[in-house]
Amino acid sequence: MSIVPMSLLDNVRLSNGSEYLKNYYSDLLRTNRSKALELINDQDIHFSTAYLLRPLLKQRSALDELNPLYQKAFEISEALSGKLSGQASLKAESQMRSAGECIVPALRWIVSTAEPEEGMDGKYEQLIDRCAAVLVRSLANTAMLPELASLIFARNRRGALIHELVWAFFEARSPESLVLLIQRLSSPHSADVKLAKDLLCFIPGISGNTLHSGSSLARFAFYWLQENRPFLYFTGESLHLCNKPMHYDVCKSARYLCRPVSVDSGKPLMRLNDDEEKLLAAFEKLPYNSQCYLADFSWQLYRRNVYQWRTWLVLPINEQAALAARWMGGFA
Amino acid sequence: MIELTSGEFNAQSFLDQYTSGSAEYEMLKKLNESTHTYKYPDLDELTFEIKMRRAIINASLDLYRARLSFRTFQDSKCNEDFWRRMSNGGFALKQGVKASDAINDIYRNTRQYGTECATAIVIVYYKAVLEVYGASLFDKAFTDIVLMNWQQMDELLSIATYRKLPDYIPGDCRYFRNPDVNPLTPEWQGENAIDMGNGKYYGHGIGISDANRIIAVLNQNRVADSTISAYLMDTATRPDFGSLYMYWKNS
Repeated sequence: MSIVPMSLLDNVRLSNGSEYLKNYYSDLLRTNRSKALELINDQDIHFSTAYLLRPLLKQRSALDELNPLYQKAFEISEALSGKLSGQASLKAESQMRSAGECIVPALRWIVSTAEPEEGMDGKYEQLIDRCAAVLVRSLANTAMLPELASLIFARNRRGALIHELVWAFFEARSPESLVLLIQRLSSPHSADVKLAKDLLCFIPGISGNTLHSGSSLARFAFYWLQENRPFLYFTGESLHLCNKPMHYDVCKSARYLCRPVSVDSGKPLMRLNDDEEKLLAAFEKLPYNSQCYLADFSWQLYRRNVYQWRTWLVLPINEQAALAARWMGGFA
Repeated sequence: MIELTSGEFNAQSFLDQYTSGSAEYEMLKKLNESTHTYKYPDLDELTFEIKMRRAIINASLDLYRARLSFRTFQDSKCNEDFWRRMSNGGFALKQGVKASDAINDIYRNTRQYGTECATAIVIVYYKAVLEVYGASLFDKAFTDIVLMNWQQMDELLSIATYRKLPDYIPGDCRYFRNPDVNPLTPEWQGENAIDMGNGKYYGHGIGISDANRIIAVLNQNRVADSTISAYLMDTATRPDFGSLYMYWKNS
């Protein structure tokens, strides 16, 4: 939730609106071209403002006089704007992927300074969605997730479409980035809190919780994330599937065996030995509630006393459950 | 199996009311032959659910025949006489307009509408309830409809998504996920599809076909060198048939 600096042109737009900005800049390009180019090349200018002025720059053949980063960003925006379907979209995606690292700074500039989006049309939002998706999916760039989270929450406050941005955010398959959502549980904006709760609904007790303050919910969520991080996997659910997608789930069998899983597949990162395979088979036959109980107990014991845990784990599963029931009170 | 709280359930005599091979027959057979126990307070509620599921299938078929166009939220369109297009691409029922007229208009003046697959399913649900309730009760029940995929759904519909169910029944909304979708066309990240029975599905934008074809269409919209196929997820989305029944019964 960092504060992004703004240029003079951004301030003109914010204070007087987009139309005023365009008229002001058009006059400036005509009367004082070098000043106009200096202002558009300001290192703090937002993409959203530059995007509004692009037609004027093109009209006045000034696009070539932009700095290389902004030129690249406009090239990308040209390639990713408008209707993209079938072969055209495949070709555009391939080109972005093969361009690799050299387009990352331009894409990051676009996404991190996409705001303010007020007054921009659906096509602009779609362009930003596409840039974010290319960064995350095609270029596997997760460094921009904080900016992406900011954009999601800003858009949500305006009631604008966030589905594709949320999709891109979770497609990063980065459980660490959940912290960016957890932070919003204590936001002063009620819309932020509601969205954060919805997006984190896979954490038990978060969604719809009105009893606890934002900061205590955030503390609880941080703790839960720490507790479950090694066993979290991405489910592939999205806002296209349902109202409250469970983006992540905890692999209970992995928590029981204390073996971390791949965030992509939910499968153990290391091959299980024969004994573990047998334990797993017995565990899978247990009722759901018993699985939850044993998984919780096992992980707690593992972290408290790994030697005791090893002794416990070799017992038949019904004996494990009996001991767990007897010991559980001591872990509160 | 099916269990009635009110008394014994004679599955065969109930099944005999429906034509073998019909979607209703398939629904009942699946429920009755399941290892899971489906409990209903009485036969009326079970009959209501079967009727609702049939209405969902019919509403899907009608929407397919009406050729509703596929559009992303950025390009969505609606008849502004009945609906207000929201900035996020969803449609809100206009004040002073009857909900039944507005839903029927989507089926009547379909060319004036265009939306994506989840919103199409929500339209199907409302149309199905309209058919079962009738216009008068429907207008009483729904005064503030928003059509925006699964967001802002009316509480009476109580649409919920269930995971890892023992059975999937005709009338369920299933989801085909496309994990390796081209990020520039996220509208192909998956397809919501109504189970029409007999192995057929209705997915807005794809049409009525079997699971393999839906997967093949999604696979055409993956990144260039993908080896990961689209697949049918083990989820089902359903309205709360019990709540809808209670409202209908008590009105």
